[in-house]
Amino acid sequence: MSMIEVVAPGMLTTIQDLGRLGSRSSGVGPGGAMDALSHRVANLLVGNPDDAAALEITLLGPRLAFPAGAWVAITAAARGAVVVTADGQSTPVPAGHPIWVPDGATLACGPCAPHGCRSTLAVAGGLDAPLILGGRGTDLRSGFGGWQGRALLGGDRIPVGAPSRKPPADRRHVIVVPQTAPPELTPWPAGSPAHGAASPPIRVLRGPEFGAFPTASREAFFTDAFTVTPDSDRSGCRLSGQTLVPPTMTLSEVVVAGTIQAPPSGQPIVLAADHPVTGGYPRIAVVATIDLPRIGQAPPGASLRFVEIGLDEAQRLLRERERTLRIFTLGLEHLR
Amino acid sequence: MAASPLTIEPLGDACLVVRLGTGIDASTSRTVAAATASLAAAALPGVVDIAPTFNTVAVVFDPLRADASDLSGAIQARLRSLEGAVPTTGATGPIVEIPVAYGGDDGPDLAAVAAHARLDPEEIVRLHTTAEHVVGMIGFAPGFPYLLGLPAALAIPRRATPRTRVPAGSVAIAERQTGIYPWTSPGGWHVIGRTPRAMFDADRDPPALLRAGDLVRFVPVAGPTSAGKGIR
Repeated sequence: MSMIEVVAPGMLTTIQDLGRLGSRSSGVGPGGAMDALSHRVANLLVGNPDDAAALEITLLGPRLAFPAGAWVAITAAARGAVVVTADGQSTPVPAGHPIWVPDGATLACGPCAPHGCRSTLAVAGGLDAPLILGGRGTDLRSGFGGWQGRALLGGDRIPVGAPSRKPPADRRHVIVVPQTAPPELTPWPAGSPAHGAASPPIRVLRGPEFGAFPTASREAFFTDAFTVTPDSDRSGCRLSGQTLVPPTMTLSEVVVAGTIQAPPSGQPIVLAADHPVTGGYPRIAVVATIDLPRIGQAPPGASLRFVEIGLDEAQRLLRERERTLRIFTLGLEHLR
Repeated sequence: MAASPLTIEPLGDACLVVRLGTGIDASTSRTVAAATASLAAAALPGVVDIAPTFNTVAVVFDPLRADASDLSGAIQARLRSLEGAVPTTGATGPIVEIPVAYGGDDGPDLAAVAAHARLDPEEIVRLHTTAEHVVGMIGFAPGFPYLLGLPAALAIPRRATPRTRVPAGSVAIAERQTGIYPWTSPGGWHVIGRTPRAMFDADRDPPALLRAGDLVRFVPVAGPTSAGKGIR
């Protein structure tokens, strides 16, 4: 079986997929990629099913050795990735296109800032992590799944599955290392599915306790900006800004990824992939599924604003995005 | 079903919350367990996960495969057919026996709980092991059960300062509930004992030892179990 070896792990690199469903009643949350859209696109670029296990990179990417050659793709925030061949030749490689990494080469993924917080690195064939409770992702809070239930460390050797199909053969869209000159890559015909610019407000639906917050807190939530704090992680994006006054809540209730809670401090927390399945803080709002990847991409220091949308609008936006992704997939098929 | 009509409200665009009661009690827990089982058996299109809490059932769905209002209607119809079918007394699940070593290093807060209750530690253990506990929900961490049925004499507010490290297997109480820590973690409940049984095992199906609605009885065993035998 093919494998990749971790030379340097980066800041926090974990194996993720699209999440673990069906075990909430055992207290197991969904987990999975913080930016599911980038995860899906990275997999599609290398010919994988969109839910194949891939690496989620946080802020600073890893350096990986490829004893056997492989097609890979990097999506989202990371820039400045470089492939170094066994004979020492460096090739800068872009995000968003399939890259052939030859036998014996290493791939250094660049930093994610200032474009975002996370990147996906997909390898053709998918990472061969064990399927546990319907998912291959790493549950960092509970220490299971992915690679030994933890973030990658130097020296780890991650098995890669056998690729079932090839990425697009059209050389205008792919990079085959080594090559003499950096190619002028042609953008994908239908464009790449994107999050949209970082600045528009995050779209949210009212939470169950929204009406119980005092008027001033409700107004502040939708008019003020909130800053992402450095203690944010895969379980939640912590914000600082105007202090909200949370109403009393007597019982723990169900929460989902994107639930925005106001703890007694009044500084909101946006729950993310590794959230616990229940929470005892009032839920002022819930991020629409369409914008969850943008929460995963918000680095410490980022400024977030929120805007309310309705359920129908949330569903319509999601269907529209799915259609874009479908056209993108068909475009890749066409170039194969 | 419950005397009060059920309500269904959205939590974001991919989850509907079916509310079956307002308080915490064993009867509501039984209703919730029955509704959870009924909805799971219905295998409604687009539903990807179903989870009970003290008085609600969360139905998580794929918004690309199900429309929220259609799904809400399907849930209403399904649960209407359940009306009157839920026993208001008696068990819905098996009785699970949990062996516990009380006090000492395994239960560092037993003495404080006894002092608060103005009872002997032995009496605390007797009351805790003779009561019938019902799993209200699993939450906080994978496999963590919130157990209802703590005798009123044992009720105690949470610790003013949470412990930074509660060992896996710790049996702890707060308010009118008992919890069991499946993992070593911080915790604010009063630890009165420790069990060697694994509350969660990812290789097991289902992975959590307990399910909402299960009945639990604690069985005193000689301590200490601090060696952690069998505790993951």
